[in-house]
Amino acid sequence: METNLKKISNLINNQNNLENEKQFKIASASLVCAIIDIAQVDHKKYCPLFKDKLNLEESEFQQIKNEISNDALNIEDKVAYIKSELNNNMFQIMEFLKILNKFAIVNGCTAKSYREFELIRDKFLREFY
Amino acid sequence: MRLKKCSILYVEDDKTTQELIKEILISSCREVFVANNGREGLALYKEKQPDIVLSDIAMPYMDGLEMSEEIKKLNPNQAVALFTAFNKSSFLKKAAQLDISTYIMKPLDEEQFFNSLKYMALQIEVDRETKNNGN
Repeated sequence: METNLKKISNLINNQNNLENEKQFKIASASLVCAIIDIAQVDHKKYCPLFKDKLNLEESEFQQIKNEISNDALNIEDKVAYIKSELNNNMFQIMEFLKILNKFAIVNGCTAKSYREFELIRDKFLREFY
Repeated sequence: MRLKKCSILYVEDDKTTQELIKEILISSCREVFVANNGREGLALYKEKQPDIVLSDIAMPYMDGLEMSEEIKKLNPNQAVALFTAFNKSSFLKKAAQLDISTYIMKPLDEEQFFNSLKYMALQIEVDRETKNNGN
């Protein structure tokens, strides 16, 4: 079953709030960047997936990537924000994790990428386990 | 679905590892079926239809990927996890093509191992709920 951010966005209460949508995209892309170790990979390989799963154009992603690199990434904060936007709903969180998982494995998984995915996954699901 | 309610098919050719993991699984899952290679695993899968398939990759007669491919033909939604040291990218590419998205990293970290199984159990619960709701 394919999942994408639009489907998840539609489930968010204040879906019409553009600023909120942008924040959600930034938070999501930040986690993806941590998983794929964006500084070490050719981001172009991930562009189709960014477009498909997170509705992010390359230019938009580039902008987010620059914002991320200027800021120390606090994964706990991003996870808490996304969980809150998904109403802490297990079903929505699992859909979101499918997207992160796809990024981790799509271009040939490495131990480092998969480990990062697992750490983020467990931060999302700690209370549901 | 919680892990305690899940049945698991565990496929591993190394007897020492098999015994160790089997004991861990028995204490955490409803039912555990064990096979020594992919060929046995596939036969046991057809007979038992477990909730989760957990398999090593490199095995005699039929490896974990070939077995997973056959299982996915029977049930494309089957939850499958593979043990891997992430040292053979060709295996991982093939696994991704088969829509296998859960890996258990070698060497085994017990907490991560359980978290991965719990994640799969939740995934099964979500998929079944979605299916029951007709989405």
